Amino acid sequence: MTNYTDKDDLETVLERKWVDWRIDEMKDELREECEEKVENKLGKQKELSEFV
Amino acid sequence: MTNIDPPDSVAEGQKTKFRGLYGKCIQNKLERFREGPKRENLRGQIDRQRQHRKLISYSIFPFEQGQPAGYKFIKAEPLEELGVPNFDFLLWNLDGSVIFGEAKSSIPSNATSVVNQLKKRREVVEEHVEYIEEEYLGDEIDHMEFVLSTYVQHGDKMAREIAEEGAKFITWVVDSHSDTMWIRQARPTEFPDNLGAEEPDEMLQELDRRHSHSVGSLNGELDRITTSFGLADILPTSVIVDRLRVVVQSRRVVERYPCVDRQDIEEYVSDSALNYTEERVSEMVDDLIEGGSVLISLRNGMMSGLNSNS
Repeated sequence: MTNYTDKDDLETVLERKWVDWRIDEMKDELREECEEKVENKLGKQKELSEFV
Repeated sequence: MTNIDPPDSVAEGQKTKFRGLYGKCIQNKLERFREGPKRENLRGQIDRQRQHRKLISYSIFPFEQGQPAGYKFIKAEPLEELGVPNFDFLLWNLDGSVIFGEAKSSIPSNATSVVNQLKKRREVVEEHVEYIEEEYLGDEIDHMEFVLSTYVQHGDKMAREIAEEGAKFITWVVDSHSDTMWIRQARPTEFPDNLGAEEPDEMLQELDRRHSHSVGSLNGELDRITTSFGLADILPTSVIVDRLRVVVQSRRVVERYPCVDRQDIEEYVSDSALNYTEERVSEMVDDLIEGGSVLISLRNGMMSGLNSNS
């Protein structure tokens, strides 16, 4: 485990982690969008098959 | 095979189909996800926040260290606790005159949008005069002035735009190379409609009055006044990564091990010279601890679930 002693280094690490975190959030949003999209699609197909 | 649990609403016989469609969808979206530029944008956000904080520091430093024309720095981000659009700093001369200032470290190509934003913030201030008197000053306001503070390279553009829009804002410019600040006026290419004068000379005088401080000695004192940055360490409305710097800065090293506790952070925020109340400091520290926890806990998922392209 790295023992950071320089505050500037720590700030750089903090900034990098924040950027990683935000990118992760954006990718999670894409996953949620896909989940909703596929769920809706399958739901509509089910309704249609029941109707027919 | 996509590693996802289909939601309960998906029928048992449809779960494999769900996984297949979901896999195609997410693969497509992730292929189009431009991670590099997005990372650049986020880093740009951090940089802009840093520049903004630095410009606020430059703007308030003379009023924190001294008392130009009797004006003192009172508060950063007045009205932020009400969740309304607010200026970046408030100065007061203890004699009924206040100055609200907005720091703009970068100016968009359409400078009118900045002037319009300031006009709206001014309206918000005017709607909250009683609150400001009671909560910040403990005294009545007789006269309000509004300042746009920017770096010297944007000064002419903003001062001219303000004059042409007929707005009553005073432009301060900061030169970070010489650590000085002064008032910048610029002649408009056309006189605004709302000038209360007919003759060109009178119109120019009226513009000079409009774009300089009514307390005359302040205009003189702000003529290339020496200033500095580093005062505005924490602003409650900054993005969390900018505020979390405070945790880094307030950490101690005890027997080679870095540590930080709540009191360290509270002391650092209290000492940041931005005059927050004890209650507000406590709330800000709560936000910092919560924000820091979220960042750390999400990081674990991130490290295992994502393949970073940076």
